[in-house]
Amino acid sequence: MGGEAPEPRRLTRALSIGGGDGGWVPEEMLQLVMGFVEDPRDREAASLVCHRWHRVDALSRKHVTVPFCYAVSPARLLARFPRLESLAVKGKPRAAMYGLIPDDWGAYARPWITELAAPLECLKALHLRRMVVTDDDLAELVRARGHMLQELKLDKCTGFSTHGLRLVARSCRSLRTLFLEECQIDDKGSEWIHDLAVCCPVLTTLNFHMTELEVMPADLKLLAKSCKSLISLKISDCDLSDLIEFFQFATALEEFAGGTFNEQGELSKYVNVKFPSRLCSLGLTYMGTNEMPIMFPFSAILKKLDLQYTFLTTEDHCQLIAKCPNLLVLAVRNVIGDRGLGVVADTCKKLQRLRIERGDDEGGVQEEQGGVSQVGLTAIAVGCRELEYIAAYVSDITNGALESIGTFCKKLYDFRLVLLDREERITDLPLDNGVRALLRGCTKLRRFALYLRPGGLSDAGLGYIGQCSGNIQYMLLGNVGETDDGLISFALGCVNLRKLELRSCCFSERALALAILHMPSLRYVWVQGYKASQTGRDLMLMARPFWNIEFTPPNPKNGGWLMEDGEPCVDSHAQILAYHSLAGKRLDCPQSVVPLYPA
Amino acid sequence: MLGGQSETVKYRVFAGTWNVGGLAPPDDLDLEDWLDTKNDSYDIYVLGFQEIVPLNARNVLGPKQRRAAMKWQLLIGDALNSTRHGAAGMHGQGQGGAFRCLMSKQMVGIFVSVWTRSSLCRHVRHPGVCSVGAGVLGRLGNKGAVSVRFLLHGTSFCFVCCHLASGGEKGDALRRNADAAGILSRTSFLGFGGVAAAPGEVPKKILGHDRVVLLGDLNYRIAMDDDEARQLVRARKWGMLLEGDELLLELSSGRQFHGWHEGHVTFAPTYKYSRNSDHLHWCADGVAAGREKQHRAPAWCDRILWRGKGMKQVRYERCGCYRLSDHRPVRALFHAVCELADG
Repeated sequence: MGGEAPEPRRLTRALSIGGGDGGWVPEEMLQLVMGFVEDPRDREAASLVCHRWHRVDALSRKHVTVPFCYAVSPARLLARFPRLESLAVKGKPRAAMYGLIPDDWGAYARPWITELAAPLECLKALHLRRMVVTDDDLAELVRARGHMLQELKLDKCTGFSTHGLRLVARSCRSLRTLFLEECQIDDKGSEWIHDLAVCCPVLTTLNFHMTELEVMPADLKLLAKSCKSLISLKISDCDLSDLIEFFQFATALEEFAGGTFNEQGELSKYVNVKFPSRLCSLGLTYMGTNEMPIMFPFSAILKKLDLQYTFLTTEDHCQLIAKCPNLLVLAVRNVIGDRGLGVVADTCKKLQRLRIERGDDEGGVQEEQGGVSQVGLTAIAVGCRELEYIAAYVSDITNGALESIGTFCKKLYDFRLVLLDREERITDLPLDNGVRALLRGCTKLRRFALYLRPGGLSDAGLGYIGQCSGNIQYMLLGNVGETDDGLISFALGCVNLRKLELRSCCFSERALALAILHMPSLRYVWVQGYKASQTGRDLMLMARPFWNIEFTPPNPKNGGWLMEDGEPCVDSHAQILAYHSLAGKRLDCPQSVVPLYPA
Repeated sequence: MLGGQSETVKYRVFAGTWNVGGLAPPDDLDLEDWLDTKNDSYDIYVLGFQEIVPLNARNVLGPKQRRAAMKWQLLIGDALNSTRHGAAGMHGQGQGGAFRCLMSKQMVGIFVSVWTRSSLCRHVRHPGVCSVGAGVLGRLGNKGAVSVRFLLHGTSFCFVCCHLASGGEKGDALRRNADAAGILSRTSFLGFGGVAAAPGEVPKKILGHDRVVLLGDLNYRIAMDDDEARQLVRARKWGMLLEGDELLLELSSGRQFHGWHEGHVTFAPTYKYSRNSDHLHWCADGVAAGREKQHRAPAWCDRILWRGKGMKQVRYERCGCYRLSDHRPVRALFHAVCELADG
């Protein structure tokens, strides 16, 4: 019948989603839906559906992290995502934190600022990590974006001075967050803080912790008066007795770090220090037994506590932490000992992040019971089941402790373990079975770091890591495996691994190259301390399109040096950096880095 | 030969001190000017650095940072064994060049490096190192000293690299004196396990050595009214400014530094300079009303003292061409007489 024939065709068209221009679903609705897809990988997948989705994703993407600054060019990023509001770019390899990357290595911020600051008209947040940023770069940034910039995070960056910070302070009236932690900044005066106080009234977060910048207490007081929303302040060291007036005015302050007890034992200096009533995150430098009671009045409401730079004994840690039942984040040195970790386990049931840093190995604050071991880690695993992040330097370890973590820490997202060289004999090596149990049990793990000693993990254990790697995207492995076969079996299992760092390993160049070819998601690999040739010839086995290979030859000039304790200089070992790149060959390699190309 | 008289040989000893202000040196920093390598006449170099890393809580309490010491070591080796001078055929080799590193030691920011002509190494015995912290809690390593000692032929040498308490207030000089006394008394060279030294042959304490050099950022300031000091600085009347020098006052009083000697200070102040500049920091900011109190008069913080017969200081100088830090390096040349015990 003629009347019924057109109806099925109309139904078909109404149900279709794609199909190019004039499709049924309005573009505005698609943008709205895209906005709810937050995982960058999911966004990436959605953008591949069709050209229209690709364009909608491009126009609606608000934040992008460039995981490595040489993986894509600024121009390409701009073409792909012209309406970004927030951009993060990572630079030098993480090994720069340990002095293993030369200062002139690269990772310059200039092209990113020059090519993107003006054209990205919606940009209001910029985060650069381990990059070289100059005052001229900051000047260009504020010229182009000063009126809109709300967040500037320079994380472990180098190359700029307080002159650049003055420009930022005077040009960015909407600035809410200025993050400079662990940057190397040339100090040409502290006027920049004064300028912030005068020009940036909406500032909520200021962090220049672990810089060496000079601080004037009067400027901090002015900051507290002018920036009434100041919630977080982390400064370079300033005597706490000079901050009494600052605290009086900083009524909104919730987070503070960088106050120093420069005169230990002179308690009369600090008796008038009164912290703001909302303070729930604190880190104080050189706090000792006598100064510790200053925290007792508000310890019960503390959510974050940084004790890495204190003089607390193990007993002090026990006493203080027993009064902090609401901690979410705790950072300590290994002087806390297993006994202190036992108190953490009994007290801090909400703990989400725990960092146990190593201390000075000689002559430091007296340490009880030789640091942190399987005893403390097991207690933590059993007692703190909300943990998402554990980073621990340990003196001793067992498979059982790692099994406990796998059994009880079901929310663990990031796990890092370093086995120190301090003890000659480790209770339970290799750690093959413990590592397997941890990886099997912690199914949410995304980042995994294991730095052991020779014999710490066998080829079988390395194979387990590969097989059980699940959704882990980043790994750092040191002193693992025994032969090339171990590395290959590891690689065969790593389906989702995107970033890999290897140190102090026994593998050949050929095995490294083949392993890299077997990991389908791998985008970035950094290796140091392997069986290197003088030329890196066998590394070419990993050559393929869009893959850059950079070889830093062994440096015989350093090879003869020994430090006074007989430790060989690690700078002498060769390095490999290989990464996926849409930007092509690097054009700014220093002399020490040799790019490798196919013949 | 008269009975009992020993044969002797004279060596030229270079002692240098530099507070490098916590900055890593550029890779192309040329130390040859400071080390006077064109002269090519020294037998022993003893170099003492302060603040090779920033003196913050992380560096004091956290794991030792060795990168900076390694970098300085490379630069020293480059300068001493440069192919541009002398017969050295290999560039920067610790083993193959004219000079070899005898020992080195780091404690937080203090770093000492001892180099001798390669031909001298076989005459060196009983090398020893000791670190003493005098900073936070009176014993951590942000201040204090690293001391090195060795026997050269039959004569014992000890070099003490100090970084004393800072501060220009009254009472700070007394703290520096107390720190120095504490370093001298607390430093003790333990015997090397593998070497059976005869009792009394090798001294345990600093002052037990035949030839002693104490160098470093001693941090002594100018005890003088600010206005008077300012006038003298403007007029560059260093001799008159030195009349207020706390260390010279101590040396002349014969108290804490009794028995120690220092050559004539004929050079300009060594601290505090604007970085990468020849300008004294004080003058540059002197007129800023609110910040004036934050800066102190220039001072000769960086010094080299010595004691013991058979030591003669030949030169004592500040090197003005290194602007990396807010301190200037200082050097002294000694002629040291050694007894040939094994002659």
